Amino acid sequence: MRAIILENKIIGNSSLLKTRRDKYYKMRFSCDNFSVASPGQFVMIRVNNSYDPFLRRPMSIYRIPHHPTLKKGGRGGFEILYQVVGKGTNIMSELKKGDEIDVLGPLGRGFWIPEKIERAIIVAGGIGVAPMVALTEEIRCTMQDARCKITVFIGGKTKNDILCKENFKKIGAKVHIATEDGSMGKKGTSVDLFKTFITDSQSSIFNRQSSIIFACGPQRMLKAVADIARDKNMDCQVSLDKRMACGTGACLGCVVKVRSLEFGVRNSNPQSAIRNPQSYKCVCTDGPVFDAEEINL
Amino acid sequence: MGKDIKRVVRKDISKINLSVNIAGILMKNPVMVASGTFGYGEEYAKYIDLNKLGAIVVKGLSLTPREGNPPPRIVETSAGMLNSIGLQNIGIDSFVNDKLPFLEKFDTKVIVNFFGDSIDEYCEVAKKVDSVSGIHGLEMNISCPNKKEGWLEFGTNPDLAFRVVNAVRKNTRLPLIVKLSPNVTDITVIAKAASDAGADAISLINTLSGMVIDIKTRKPKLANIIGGLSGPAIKPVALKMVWQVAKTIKLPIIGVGGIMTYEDAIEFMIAGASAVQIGTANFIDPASSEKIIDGLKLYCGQNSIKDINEIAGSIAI
Ligand SMILES: Cc1cc2nc3c(=O)[nH]c(=O)nc-3n(C[C@H](O)[C@H](O)[C@H](O)COP(=O)(O)OP(=O)(O)OC[C@H]3O[C@@H](n4cnc5c(N)ncnc54)[C@H](O)[C@@H]3O)c2cc1C
Ligand SMILES: Cc1cc2nc3c(=O)[nH]c(=O)nc-3n(C[C@H](O)[C@H](O)[C@H](O)COP(=O)(O)O)c2cc1C
Ligand code: FES
Repeated sequence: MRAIILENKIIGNSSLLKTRRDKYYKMRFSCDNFSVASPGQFVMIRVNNSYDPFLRRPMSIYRIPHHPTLKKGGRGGFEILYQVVGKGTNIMSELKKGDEIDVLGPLGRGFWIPEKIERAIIVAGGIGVAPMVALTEEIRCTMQDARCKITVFIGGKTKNDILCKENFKKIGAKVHIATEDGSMGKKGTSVDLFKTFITDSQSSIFNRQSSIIFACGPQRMLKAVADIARDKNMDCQVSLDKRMACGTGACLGCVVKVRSLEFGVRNSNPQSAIRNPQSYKCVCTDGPVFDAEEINL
Repeated sequence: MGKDIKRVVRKDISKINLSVNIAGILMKNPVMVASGTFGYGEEYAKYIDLNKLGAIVVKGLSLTPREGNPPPRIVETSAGMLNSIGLQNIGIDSFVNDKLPFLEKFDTKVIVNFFGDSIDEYCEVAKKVDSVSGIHGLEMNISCPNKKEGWLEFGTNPDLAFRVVNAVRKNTRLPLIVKLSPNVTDITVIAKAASDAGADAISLINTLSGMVIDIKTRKPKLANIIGGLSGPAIKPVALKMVWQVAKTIKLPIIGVGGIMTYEDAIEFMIAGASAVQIGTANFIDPASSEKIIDGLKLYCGQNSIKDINEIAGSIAI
């Protein structure tokens, strides 16, 4: 599918970095058929028409058109947020307004928002905030009356790596920040903040049964969050980042190990788990969002 | 005037014969999708019209489901990729029960790619599907080890290759395509063994064995250490092997390896292939095969070729 780039610009403090590497960019597209996308889904971007780089690059959808602020344009569209880490993202950062690129998507299974949730806890590390913006916007849209409280924990190496703070604040979320060097917010990680929050506020502030945790970031961070969630018996959804080739479930390259069945029954249907005893799931089609109990992080 | 020319060209194009007959499998065009790169068809039904394809070769199947290798299973390389999926699949029974009914709805040929750990296992799979309607042919992947006898790969030894193909031949009435491994010193020897053993057609090549190392951690980038290289990087190797095998045996040949465009497909046909398979290109552009079919028509139109079969083996040496 052809998508036209409407905007491609550096965001946040990363503009202060000397080299392009590690800078963060926001790219906005105009493109048909994106009204059906849901938070947590992703696209596969072909960054140029050559064989170098060869494969498409997966990128989470950061904001989606049905959110009111994006509705005006007429044609559909979406936004992504990316960090320049290598060849593909470097080429993307050089693209200009008006350029056309080839985008496959929306792909995968995104977050699912249970009914009657009183509190959503978001834990994001680095570029992992990208899908969380769409998610919180969706929670706000669908739960206007329910007054679901949203608490966001963002972590990054330095203040340059803290993104989207304002997006979350704008929709009324409570935002907590941690950096590894202490240059913004608390010194530490988003998991540290989250752990303190959960432990301190045990039963007094919120009801764990009507709360849910959504997490996206490096694998180690997701594992730490999932372990805490399990310990506190809370629902937790994680969005995984795996190398991909096809993005459509055809190559079986992006798999994640399924947790052994005796564990994996809390939220998924135990009968379907028994009928289909596969040991791996595809991140691109069964995920990228999984119930933390489904998979082995 | 421009319009008239277009109309003339289109009229000519509609008269061009693209259909091919590979060992009794009558395909509407010579473009197939390669095993392991197109799932069981449904994965791509959203992106292209499956009715347009000459044939769909499904992901390699075995007698019982296979879990496959631990991840990471893929890594990008220059103009290609390495994979070590480890033949993860749902098993032949699940395929027939759960996946085949979907494929049967389309006007295309369904070819079952399969493999085994032993000669017996190959035969069992072949037997199971021999009388299943909706399956138009078999493709034997012989790039796997004979776990019962010495772990040597069937496809790297002419004697083993002969025995396994010959045994399967006795267990199926379906057209039998044998898919060759390129990881051998002389591919023509294996091709000849497969031909002598009763194969109806030969497809080549499977992936080339390779590896990638992360210089920071000094670890291989694939959990399995080694994997199979595919994509444009292997095209010249595949092309040469197709040409060599075409000179050696009389069976129809299906060219596979790095085909991204219709020009690539034509090259394979000139070298001696009667049909082609599109593999890794599906990942880059799900519509690749459809575009290649349109391109073949255009090429024939522009070069006054009335029948695509005229191209096969037309190399000028
Ligand atoms: C579902 C999904 C959603 C994603 N969403 C986003 C997003 O919203 N924003 C964003 O910036 N990135 C996202 N990513 C990661 C992004 O796809 C990679 O950063 C990108 O492909 C790197 O391409 P490159 O050519 O710039 O880097 P390369 O040159 O390919 O690699 C540069 C370095 O990054 C590492 N790397 C490459 N790909 C990955 C990967 N998938 N996971 C971890 N490490 C990798 C390599 O090992 C290497 O060290 C997502 C990945 C997935 C699977
Ligand atoms: C991810 C992946 C999985 C594959 N799985 C199979 C398989 O199950 N059986 C088989 O015979 N070949 C398999 N192949 C090999 C392809 O069918 C094809 O022979 C090879 O990739 C070369 O063609 P290409 O360069 O066009 O991809 C696989 C290739 C890839 C990339
Ligand atoms: S990337 Fe191919 S199956 Fe997920």
